[in-house]
Amino acid sequence: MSAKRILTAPLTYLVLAVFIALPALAAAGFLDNLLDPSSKERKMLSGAQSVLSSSQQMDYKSERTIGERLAVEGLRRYGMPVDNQKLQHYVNLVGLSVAMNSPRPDIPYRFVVLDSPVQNAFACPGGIIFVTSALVQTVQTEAQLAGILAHEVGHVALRHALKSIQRSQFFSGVGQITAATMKGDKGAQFESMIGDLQNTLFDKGLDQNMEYEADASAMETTYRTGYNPAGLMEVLLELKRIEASSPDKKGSWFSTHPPLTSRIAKNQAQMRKYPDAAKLAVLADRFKAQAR
Amino acid sequence: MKRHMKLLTTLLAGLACLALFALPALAQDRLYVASEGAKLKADKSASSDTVAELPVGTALRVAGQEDSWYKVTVGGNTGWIYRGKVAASPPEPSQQGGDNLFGGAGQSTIMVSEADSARSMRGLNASEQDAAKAAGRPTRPLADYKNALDKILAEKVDKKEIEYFLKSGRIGEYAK
Repeated sequence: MSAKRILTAPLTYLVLAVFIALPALAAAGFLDNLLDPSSKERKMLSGAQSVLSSSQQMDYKSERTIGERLAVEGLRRYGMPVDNQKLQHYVNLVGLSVAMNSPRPDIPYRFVVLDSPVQNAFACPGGIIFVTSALVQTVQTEAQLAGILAHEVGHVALRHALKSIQRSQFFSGVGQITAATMKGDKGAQFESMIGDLQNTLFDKGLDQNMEYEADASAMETTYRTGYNPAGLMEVLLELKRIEASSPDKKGSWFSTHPPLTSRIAKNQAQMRKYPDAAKLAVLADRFKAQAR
Repeated sequence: MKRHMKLLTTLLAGLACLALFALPALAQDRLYVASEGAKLKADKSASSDTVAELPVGTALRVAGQEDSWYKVTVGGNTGWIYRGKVAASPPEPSQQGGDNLFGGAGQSTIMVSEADSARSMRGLNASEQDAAKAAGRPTRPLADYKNALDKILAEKVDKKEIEYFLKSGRIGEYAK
């Protein structure tokens, strides 16, 4: 037996053994440290807990209360619902069709077309989703509308708005919003939190990564439903085309969403996941019959 | 000797790789219902008989896949389910108080005991009124916006109507 074999064989086993044992060793150290109240790990954990308790413990009813409060502000800023029952009903049918297959299929969504010349769509926590009449005019097919609505459903499903303000003082110690939590200091903190949310949803826009995440979610959701997932990207391309000539960008999709070029590129890359996309529903004619 | 050593190392590496790849493959045997309105069908066609209606989160044992359909077994029944209705893990359920997709939105959120506070919480403060004015929006009474929202929330869409809508558009499992 050569010396080399004697050396290498146990070495191979040793490497394998260490490889397998490493995560276990690390976990043991982590657990030990966790028991020590002054350890870094313990502090990290308690920090994580307070962040979690700020948003994850919120029940659906509270989330919806915040959403309805923001919805009133959305109506005020962008305009009243378009007075066209056929259009409103159609948009709800498309929206609910995709919401059923979204990452959060178990809450009641509502979709509303607002009478506004600004190109935009936005989602209130809890599932009230607005799309402006100008954006509906830009859309050409049902698959495109489905893409836009699924993007907003994605924000609701992934709780983006709430996550972006979860460090708000209001949430400390509030599990559920009730009449009692609206009084005194808490009432003032509630107002301040709503102000932050308005700023995020209507002026500043959500975090860029949340937009990318909502795009990815929208493509997956429309694909699962059976629409061509390219619909969202087609609308983004059209928005990019009209962006230059758009006179008022304030409060529009252009000011509250990240640069269109990078979103289009990401969406294009994701299309590779859907080799049979071209065979899926587009429905340009039904869209024209129902929404024009 | 050298060759034996090489063989052993290759074998071990192969085993390690196999272990890594086998895990996802095993996970594929189990899928979960991830959409509302999922149905177990007798055949891989939406027009075939419905064997069972499957609630979100139901675990399914996968027996095979053809076209856009999975052959699955659940609760003693075997049938087919459309690919868009399943996921590798169940969606996280909403916190208590959540209604299902087809519940009345207004109904789900406002309990009688809290109706007043829920509605009054929607009130807007003075700075928002200023913002509306600055945006050149005609100043309407606050009640107009609240009433418009109440009307939106009172709208109901029936599950059957969505099914019909998908069917007439030949969308997803209704595609020909």
